[in-house]
Amino acid sequence: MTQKGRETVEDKQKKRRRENLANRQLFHRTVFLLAVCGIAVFIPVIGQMWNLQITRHEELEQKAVNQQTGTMAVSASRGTIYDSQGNVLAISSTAYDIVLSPKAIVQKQQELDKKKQKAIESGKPYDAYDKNVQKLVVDGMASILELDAADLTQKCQDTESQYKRLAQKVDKDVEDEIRAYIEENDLTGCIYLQPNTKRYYPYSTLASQIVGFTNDNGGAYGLESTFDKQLKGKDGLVVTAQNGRGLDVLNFFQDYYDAENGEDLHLTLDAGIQQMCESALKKGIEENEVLNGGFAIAMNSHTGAILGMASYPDYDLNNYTDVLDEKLKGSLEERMKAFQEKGDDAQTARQKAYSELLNIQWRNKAINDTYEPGSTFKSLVLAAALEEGVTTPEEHFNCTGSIQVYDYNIKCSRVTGHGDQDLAQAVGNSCNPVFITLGQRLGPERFYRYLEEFGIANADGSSASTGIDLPGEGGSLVWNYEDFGPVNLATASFGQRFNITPIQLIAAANAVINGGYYYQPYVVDSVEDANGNVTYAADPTPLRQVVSASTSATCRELLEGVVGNGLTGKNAYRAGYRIGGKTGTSETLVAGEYIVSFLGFAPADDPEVVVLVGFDNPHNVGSRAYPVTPSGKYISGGGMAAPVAGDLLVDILDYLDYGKQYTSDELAGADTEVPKLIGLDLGYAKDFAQSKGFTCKVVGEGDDTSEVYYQTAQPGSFVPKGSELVLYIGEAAPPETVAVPDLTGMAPDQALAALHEVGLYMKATGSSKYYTAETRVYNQDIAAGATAKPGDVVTVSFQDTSDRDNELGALG
Amino acid sequence: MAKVAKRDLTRQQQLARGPIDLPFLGLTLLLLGIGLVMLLSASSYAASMEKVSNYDPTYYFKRQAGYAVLGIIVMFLVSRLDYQWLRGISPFVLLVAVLLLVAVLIPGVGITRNYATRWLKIGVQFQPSEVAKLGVVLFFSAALSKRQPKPTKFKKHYREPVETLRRWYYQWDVNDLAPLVLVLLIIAALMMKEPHLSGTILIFAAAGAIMFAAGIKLGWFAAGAGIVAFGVWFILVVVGYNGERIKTWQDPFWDPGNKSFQMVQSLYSVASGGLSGLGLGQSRQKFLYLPEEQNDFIFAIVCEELGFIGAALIVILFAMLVVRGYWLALHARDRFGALIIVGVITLLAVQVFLNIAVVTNLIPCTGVSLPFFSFGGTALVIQLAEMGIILSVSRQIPAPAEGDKE
Repeated sequence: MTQKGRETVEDKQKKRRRENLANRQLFHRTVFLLAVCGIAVFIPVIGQMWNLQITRHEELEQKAVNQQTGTMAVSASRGTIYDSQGNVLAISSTAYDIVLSPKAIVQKQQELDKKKQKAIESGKPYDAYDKNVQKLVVDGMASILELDAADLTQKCQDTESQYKRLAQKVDKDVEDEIRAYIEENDLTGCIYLQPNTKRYYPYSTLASQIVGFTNDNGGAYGLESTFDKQLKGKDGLVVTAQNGRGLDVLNFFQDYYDAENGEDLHLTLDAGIQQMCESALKKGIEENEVLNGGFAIAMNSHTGAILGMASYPDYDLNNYTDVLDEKLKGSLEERMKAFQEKGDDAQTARQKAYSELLNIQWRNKAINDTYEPGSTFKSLVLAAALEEGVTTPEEHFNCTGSIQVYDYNIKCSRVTGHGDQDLAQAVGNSCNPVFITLGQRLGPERFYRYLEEFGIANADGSSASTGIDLPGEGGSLVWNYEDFGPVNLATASFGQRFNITPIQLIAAANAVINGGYYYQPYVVDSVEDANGNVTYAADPTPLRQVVSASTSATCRELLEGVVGNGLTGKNAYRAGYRIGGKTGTSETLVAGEYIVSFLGFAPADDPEVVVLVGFDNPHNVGSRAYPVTPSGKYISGGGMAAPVAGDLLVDILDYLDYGKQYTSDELAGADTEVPKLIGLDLGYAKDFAQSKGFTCKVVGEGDDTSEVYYQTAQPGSFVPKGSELVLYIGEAAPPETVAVPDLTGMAPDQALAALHEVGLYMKATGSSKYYTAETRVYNQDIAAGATAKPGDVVTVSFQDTSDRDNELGALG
Repeated sequence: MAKVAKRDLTRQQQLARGPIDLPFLGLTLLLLGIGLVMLLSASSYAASMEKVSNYDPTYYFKRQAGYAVLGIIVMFLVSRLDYQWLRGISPFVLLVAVLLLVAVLIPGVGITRNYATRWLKIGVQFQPSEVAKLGVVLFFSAALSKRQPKPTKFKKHYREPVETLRRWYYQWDVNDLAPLVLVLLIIAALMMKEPHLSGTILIFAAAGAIMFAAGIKLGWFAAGAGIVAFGVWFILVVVGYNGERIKTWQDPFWDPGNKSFQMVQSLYSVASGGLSGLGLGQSRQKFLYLPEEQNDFIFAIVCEELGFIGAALIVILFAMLVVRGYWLALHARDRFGALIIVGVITLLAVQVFLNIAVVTNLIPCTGVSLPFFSFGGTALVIQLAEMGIILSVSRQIPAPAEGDKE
């Protein structure tokens, strides 16, 4: 450094020394500052950053993420339930909850008041702002949702709340009405609609006990409950970034956890057959004045798949808390009284009574309840006896009207006795002594083994059940083997003094008639996930063979005889259908109350469908010995359940497009003389023809007073009963002649139709007993192409083209 | 002006034309650049959501960038000045600063924000405390650079109290300290009236560093540290003042929804970054969670987006700038230049430390902005002007002569 001025050397040296000291001091202290402010202070800072960013990273980030993200559950769509034809039985769709926000109402009111104040100050009209938001909300919701206005007002008092649910899953029209109301009165935010899912059952009451319903917790009843896990799927989640005001930050960060939609159920039920079961059941209940409802089951004989399963009283799945059946509803007061007598107050009693009613209509009588099977059970005893060779179809029995079993004298249904009868007649007569004899021949050991094989009893004496894939299946109440003494064996032989579920009986009886195979009944055919992958498929293989195919064939024949030979099952007989079956009548736990049932199957040679129809307690105004309904109908399975089952089988076979099978008697034997209708008024002629068992087709213009001037077939000729007569009136001219069609190779149905088409009638002849799908025309008495007069009868010869070396042939 | 030949310049003028210190300039511009980018990232969302910023996401960035350009120009202009000139104007700068500090306290003149009256608006809005910092640094540097070396020996007149006092007076640097401490106390009193604790701390730090470097007896600093420690203890423990800030410091989660909300949010931001950060622009805490995200708490967003690695790198850059600053002070041509640098750099270092320490809850919360990062136009310009002064000092550092070991 340069120094100015002149100084002594000593002074200079002194000063320089001092300055050097000062500069050294500056240097050292700056170095110290450098070390402190440039390095030292940043060390704890970086340490703290490490502490937060590395050590406490996860802990704090988690908290940060929690506040930064809004999560919204995306509810998985519940699976659909389909019948076997792809008809939708249950489906989910969006419905809205109506929610009230008292907080928004207050805010809205303040906003309006402010605007109103401003408008007044600036002298503008303020009508638009002059309204009472709460009153608008309360009045509107009270009227649309039919709610109590006072209650709504109460809800509005909680001004901190933003969520007061007013209604859940409202119908579409209510939803629209509320949307319109919000729009109209500018109530956005005060009332809002929140999406929810609603379960719809397009068929309402159809298969109600099987399909079941859901409540807020998911599946509550029926398949909705058993398959809840598969149906409900997995809810998804949308995670969105949210800002500090709780709004979504768009386009920043979103995470989806896809909802896995529920899986679809494909049932073995066929809505068409289910409908048939239900209407048959309902019709039977009305006709037979049944008090406690009933059940009807239709099962595929080859697989055990349930085609239809009806239980009455039923209910509307869409309004499952409404009691549907009038009779049931009518019993409310009585049930209430019973509860009141036990000391409940009126309201509690009513609630208890009402839930009792609901439980009754929700029950599936076909699987939940047990009953004494009665004579229908004899089909099983028959199969066991034949299989064990303790009897043959040729054996003859003598029924004296009762049989002595130790101290008990067990009566036959016909107390005077059936006299001499072969096995077929004994089955047809449902003769108790014969079956007791068969049971005794089998002995308790073999008998009990068959109970086990048929799924009626368990070896360890526990309650047996079929394991059908429906909830709440009941089980049998049967003696332990140890208690299975001679008397119990005797009563068991005719199906009394033990309880089983209807589904157990039909599953067992199916084994008797389908070739001997016991199938587990099931209603869920397959479960498919949303991508169409099958996650579950029913396995329709038989669990075991109980009796041999030939025993089964014999049983079919004998049971067909029950229906076809004018015996106890005759009311199930339908011409053109080979129906076999067994009737059943049994007393319930209450003396004088009966369950009448009919087990039926068809076609009898190769059963496709097996049905079980039962009615619980037809109104008995007679005695215990001679029970009759108020309209005088004798209470029995044959009289009540058989006709219903017969109609049901006919409906089902037609629905399944089974060709009719006529016996030669049915086709050829029942010819009826055609009455003379010419000259009569049309109306009278039609009535008359119908009374003779004909149907009529009218050709020509005119009314009931017009005169019939021509008819086919000709009066006095013989044509099959039920044929169609053609009546000509007015100007219409009958064809002079018709050409006879070539019938060769046609099935009976086709031949009949072809002849009717041109106005000819058929008389069938042939060598085989039954005319089936394999039966073909091989000859006709008027050659094809020849002319004939309308109404002429063509005699047609049939032959069976099926393989003669089959089971039926062997028995033939 | 006609170009003057180099040989006609004084040595001083020749030195003033020397090269500026490129490492220091580079670090400054680098930090400024990073700061601008981070400001854009931190402020854009809030800006897009607020009426104040006209819903323009680049609102804060654009303004800051404008001031940054202005600041760079000012920095270069200042760097070209011969800093000796600052000696002369330093009392005036200080006087202006004091007047401004007085003005801010006049009701209706000062602008109040968050319960503190710290702003003035004269064309632009600014904090007089920023001017005061510069004023104090310049004034103290100028005053202490002229400090006469003490007489090394005093006659021993033990029986003459006056002589003893005189000896003490010089030996304990009272002659130097008395006016400066008076100035300091006036300014501190004015600033605490606003109130502006952090600004006061910074000014004390800068003034203390200058006095320290200038060679004031260490005993004073020990005494000062003792007084401060006692004061802090007294206020915190005995009086229990400032409870909320202390409580938040000790337990940031004591009232996360309200009183300690800001600190909790800051910790969330910092911690969310983890080692490598969420990525530039990927902060989630800037979505209206972290208050003052473009201001005092911008470093939390830096930590969140750039992670420990990025944030530590920025801290290291600041540290390098500070070290380089002190290095320049050590090589400055004269005491005045050295002391200015010490003042300015200490101010910067302490400000950076306080800011980051607050953001990471290392110390109780106090409002300090982060140089080159936090939003604030005039502060940035003044900051860059200060850097300009340092650069100006750097120009006059004599190039080391051949074989010159010192």
